[in-house]
Amino acid sequence: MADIGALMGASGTGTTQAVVLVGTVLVEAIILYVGYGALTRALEPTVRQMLGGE
Amino acid sequence: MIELFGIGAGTLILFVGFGLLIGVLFGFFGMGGSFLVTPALLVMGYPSRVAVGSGLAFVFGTSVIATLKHRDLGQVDYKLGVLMIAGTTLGIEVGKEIVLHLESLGLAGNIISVTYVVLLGGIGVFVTYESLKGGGDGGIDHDAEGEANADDIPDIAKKIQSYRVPPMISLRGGVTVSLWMILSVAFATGLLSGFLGVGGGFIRMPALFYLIGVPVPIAVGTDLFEIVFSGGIGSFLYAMDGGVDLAIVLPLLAGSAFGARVGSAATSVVDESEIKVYFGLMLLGGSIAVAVREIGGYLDIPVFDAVSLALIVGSALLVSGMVVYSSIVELRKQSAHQSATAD
Repeated sequence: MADIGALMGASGTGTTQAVVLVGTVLVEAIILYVGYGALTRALEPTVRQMLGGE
Repeated sequence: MIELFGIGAGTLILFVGFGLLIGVLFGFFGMGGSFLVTPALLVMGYPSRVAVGSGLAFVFGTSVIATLKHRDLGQVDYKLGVLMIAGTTLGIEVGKEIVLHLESLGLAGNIISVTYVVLLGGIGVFVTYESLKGGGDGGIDHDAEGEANADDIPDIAKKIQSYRVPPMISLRGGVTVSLWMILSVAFATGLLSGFLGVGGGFIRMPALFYLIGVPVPIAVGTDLFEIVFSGGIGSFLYAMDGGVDLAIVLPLLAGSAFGARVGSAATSVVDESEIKVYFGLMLLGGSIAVAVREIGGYLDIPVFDAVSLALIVGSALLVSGMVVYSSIVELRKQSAHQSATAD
């Protein structure tokens, strides 16, 4: 899982690039979690009602 | 928007749709990411490094979202997660060493492929058999939110729990297991994960349930928690070599984030006895797909790659479709029941 040797021996540029890329994915994941969460809370009653066949 | 991603609208929609499909599976079963995305990207013509690195980054993002959702539902056992990470990490390192040794003997490729196919197919047969045999009462039960019911704990897990070698660890769901048993299971799953070069959710999630006896919702949540770390570290290592392409990861994640919500929410609605059979069949489909790809590579017939991908996507589509369909049926039942009670 964790290749410590590769982590320790990483060049500064490669590390910065990796931090930015992984950080971008993490930030997008959190934004999507919060955004879809708000959307779900807003639409859930309507969707449940529609799916429930009422 | 499209300029930003640097890919065409068609590909963008394809990635979002594919992400949605995987998100449902990931949120529901806590697995199914890397073994779907990486082969798909390879067939689309991306280099191996980008396919694996972007696949890992996508799995990392999706597992963050799915773990947060499972955490909200109280389905993550952090203590078990940390112990699993420790045991798995050691197992992966040993698995990698075995691969390197086999490579030096020139046997790695064949042995890994055969093990992968047998393991994926074997777990598929086992889960399908257990669910058919249980008739909906035994095996995996997503409704087991609180204390583990003794009838729901598989016999192998009861046997493992009976070895009371101190220190004993209390887990969520009222399960008490020896620390050494947890570390052994973690090491074994890590060994297979490192040996096969896969994320290992399809090994770890059933192992947490069938071997340790953790209720399925907590097994899924804890497995996802572990994937956050393994996926994060893996994608970081690939990103250092330019193996992570955000044009692939971001649209996939946009779709899967929604799918993961649907899948996670479905765990509290769906009667999983119906779904388990399809889950087992998906694993079987996956094993056949890997076998087809390997045979294609061996005989040098490129079209087998496309057949392999069609099998993987087809089985994933079938299972995620059944999750959504069963959720709708269950919601309709609940609605009808409430109406009848109100009358």
